[in-house]
Amino acid sequence: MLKKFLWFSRHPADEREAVILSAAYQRALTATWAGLGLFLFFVSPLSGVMRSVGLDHAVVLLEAVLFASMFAGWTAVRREHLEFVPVSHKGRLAFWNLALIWLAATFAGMLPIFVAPRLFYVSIFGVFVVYVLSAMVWAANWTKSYTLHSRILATFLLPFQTVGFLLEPKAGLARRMLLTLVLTVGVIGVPLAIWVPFMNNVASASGFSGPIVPGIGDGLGFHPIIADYRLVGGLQEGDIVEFGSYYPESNVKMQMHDNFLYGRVNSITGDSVSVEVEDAHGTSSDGREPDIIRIIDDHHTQEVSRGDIFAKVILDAPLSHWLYR
Amino acid sequence: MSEIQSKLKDFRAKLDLTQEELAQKLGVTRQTIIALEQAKYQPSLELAWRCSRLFRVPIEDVFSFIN
Repeated sequence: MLKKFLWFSRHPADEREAVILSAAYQRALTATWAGLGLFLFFVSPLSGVMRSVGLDHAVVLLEAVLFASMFAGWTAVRREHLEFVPVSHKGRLAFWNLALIWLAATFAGMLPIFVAPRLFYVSIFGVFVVYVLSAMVWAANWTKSYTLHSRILATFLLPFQTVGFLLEPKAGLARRMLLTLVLTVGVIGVPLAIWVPFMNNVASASGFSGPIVPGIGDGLGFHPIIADYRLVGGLQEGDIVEFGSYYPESNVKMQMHDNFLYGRVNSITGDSVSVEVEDAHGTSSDGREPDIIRIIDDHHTQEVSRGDIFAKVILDAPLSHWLYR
Repeated sequence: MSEIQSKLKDFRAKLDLTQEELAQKLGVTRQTIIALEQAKYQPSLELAWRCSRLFRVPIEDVFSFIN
């Protein structure tokens, strides 16, 4: 019965279905007008109530009205026999083609990890774009027999869910919901599962949004970088590096542990590296609850051994500021 | 209370047609044939005409109006 909840996606198969769907649209329209009327009653100065509603709440309320309209229409069709709407794909092969594209995109997106770490964010973004666009194409193709408005909704708003939901169109609703969930979670999970083992080579954004030490911080909450742990080409003077060492307590009047420091290499003498520290992340334990903190612009020079240097840092990776703004 | 009763089932039996076959000939779904035979749906004038032409009888022989 619930599968008819998407009644508005159907073209009437004949005149009887046209009559049934017409009644459904009438009820939906009535619900829409009633919902909008109620909404306007609370926000309009004409009613005298004039409650101010934020944009977020307004969107939720309008979605609730839309949902109520769908439900109202469903009450007209729920006991009626409606023809099965054919899905324009020929079985699972169509899905495996899509999966192949996703897998190829995922592996192609991994390449920059090995050849051009600076493009790591670009590749992530590119893979995501390939996922979405290919899902949109598949969703649009599979919904040819559906009404235009539901096809647009399915293609542009819910492409992954549409592919999952229509994968086995004759299966029960529970199985179709499960497939939708698996596919939607999989789209997030597969790249993660493939990427994470390789993340030791390239760390993605080093994000610290904890409180910044008063008086030292500049208000930045996030620091989008790529740290290349392979140290390709070895260390050079002028490199920005990530390293672990104890932050001198006297400078900040607090104790830090598990800290990572960022700085620029001044000079290299044998195993000893002189680094101008520019940035430090770590956990403070100054008597209060341990908290991740970030200290910036507290320049000092520190001598560390080569073994303490973890990675070379790329600060201006393309898209990083846009993706992690 | 008024309703339209049909003798669609009798005429279909005379022509030895299944519901599916009749539906195809009339350009409707099988569910509509079921609904017509059970008097749960009142056909449009066009569909009534198509039925009468298929069975070569007047409309009122297939469908009767009961008030």
